[in-house]
Amino acid sequence: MTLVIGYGNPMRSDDGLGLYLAEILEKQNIPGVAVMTRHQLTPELAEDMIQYENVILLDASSSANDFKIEKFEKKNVKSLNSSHHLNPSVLLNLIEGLYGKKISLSLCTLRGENFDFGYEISGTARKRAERCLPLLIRHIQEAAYA
Amino acid sequence: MGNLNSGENMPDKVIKINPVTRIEGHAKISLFLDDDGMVKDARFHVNEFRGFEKFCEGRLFTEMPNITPRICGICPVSHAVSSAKAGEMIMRVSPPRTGELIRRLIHLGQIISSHALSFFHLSCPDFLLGWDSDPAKRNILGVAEKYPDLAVKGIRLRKFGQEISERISGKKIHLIGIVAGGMLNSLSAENRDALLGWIPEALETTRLGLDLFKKYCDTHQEEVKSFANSETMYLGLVGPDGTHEVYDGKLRFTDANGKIAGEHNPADYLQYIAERPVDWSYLKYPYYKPMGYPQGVYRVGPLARLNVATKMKTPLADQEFRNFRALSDGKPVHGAFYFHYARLIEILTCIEQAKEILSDSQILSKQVFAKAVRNQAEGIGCSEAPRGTLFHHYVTDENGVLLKVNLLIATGQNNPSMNRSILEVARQYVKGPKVEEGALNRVEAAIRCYDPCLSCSTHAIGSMPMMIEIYGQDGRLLNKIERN
Repeated sequence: MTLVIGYGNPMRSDDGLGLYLAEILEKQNIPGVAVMTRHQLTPELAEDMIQYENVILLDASSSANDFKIEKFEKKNVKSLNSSHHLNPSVLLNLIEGLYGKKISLSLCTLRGENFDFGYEISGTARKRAERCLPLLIRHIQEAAYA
Repeated sequence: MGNLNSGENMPDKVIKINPVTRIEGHAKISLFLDDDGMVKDARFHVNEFRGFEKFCEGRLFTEMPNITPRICGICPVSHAVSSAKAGEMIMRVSPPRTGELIRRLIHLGQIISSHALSFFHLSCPDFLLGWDSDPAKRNILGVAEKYPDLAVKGIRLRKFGQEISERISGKKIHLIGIVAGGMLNSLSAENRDALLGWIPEALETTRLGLDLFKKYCDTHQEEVKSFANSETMYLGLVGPDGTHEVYDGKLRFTDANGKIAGEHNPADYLQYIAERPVDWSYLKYPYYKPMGYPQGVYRVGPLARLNVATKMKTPLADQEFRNFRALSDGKPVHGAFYFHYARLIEILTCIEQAKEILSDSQILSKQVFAKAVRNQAEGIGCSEAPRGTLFHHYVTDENGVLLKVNLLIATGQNNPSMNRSILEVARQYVKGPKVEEGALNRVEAAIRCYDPCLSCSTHAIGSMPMMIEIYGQDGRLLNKIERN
């Protein structure tokens, strides 16, 4: 089973891309895939994540790549400078350390254009999402059969 | 600010501000030394600027319970509650009893969740692993490695608090469902039973936290008593007979000896609370007007709420409250370290109250919303956020469009005291321009006692993004230490 978690701030325009993508995916009704949305990654998400073999995170990015997939391993833990908002590596460490469970964790990011205050996803980001959706779905399917 | 999505009756408006996306909590501290190299003064700088009060002008007041929760990712419910109450004053309406019960329940859940994070994830690493331990491990992962059972219990306690919100508001993100007039959603029997099922575990975990804290205090008595313990006034909501309150009540100010300095209607807050700007921070210095500044400096939050209260609402918490008050023979407990104790006692009462509400015979009623329109221009809503007393004040035109918004946030009211606490701890542990890491951690811990929410952001586990600047008597910068 696969869990997709889209997260971000829907009040900061394209910062809500993770949520936007998650809502599109939910409507696809892909078998064996559950979809969740969150404002940010927090420790208690570990309890939800351990119910699945694969977890795919969706977030916005301001980097150069239109669409990027990053896989996480336990050894990739970075220093902790935040508690209310955790990075994926920390969550993975928590899951393996606390629950003894190994899961496949990856982060898919879609480049945003506008991170100003607002409720709307920009037109450019929407088109990018449309274009990259098949890549995302393929990744989800590959993760499920890996 | 960018374009805001126009509602059906809203004119288009574009206000441009350009902050950085996803601002993390950032603490800057300046320490000033005298000729002998001892700390003379300390400043805690808050550099975030949010602008909610300004960019909400022009919105409908009814939108605010949906907008203002975005101020904070940790305590969105408190903002929604205060906002809805301000709207209800404008509408001159009260929610039906079940609507209020559900609202109280979701509010309790948020306090449980927030306090659990503060204690079990942010503060525990110091208690369990040591103040001077390796900072790379002095965090949630370090606790998880050495005390996995405790780490899991702490995570699950926070999850219980969040599950209350999710089972009431549904699965969609940010749909808290708190609106002026009541709630958008009622509670199903299935969700009620699921939440009741959590109660025994939640109580047990809280007891574990209390035992852990008390054990630490017993073995570190002098350190705990002397940690940032200067006296202040206190402010908190109380019920009719002085009972601890987090949802509604009157404002009670007490002096440093515990004498009631004033009890006021929250709607009159501007008559009693003034704010003084400072030039090194965006956060102002609030104080109790009748006492003037600086005598009127007061604290809010768990420590303050327990210091102003006469008793707790629930039996287990009240028993623990008496132990708390015994620390200072019934007078206010001033040491900042005891914020953690107060937080745990509040978790306890919130769990007990949640059980009572879930067991109420009317909790499943569908009567959760009272419809009304704008009936007066101004509304003020007040509730206790996890960090302290929170005010939302709206002034509207005849169409309900906001002309003016004033938000008095909990953390801001603790600003003068946070500065003072940092100074006290720095004087105790910082000697000269060279700063040891353990001293840095203790200065950070002074801030952590208050569990500040620096404009929605985060504060760190064991290694807060921090800059400390040390100045000599002549104002010359002697040393600068940056972390993350």
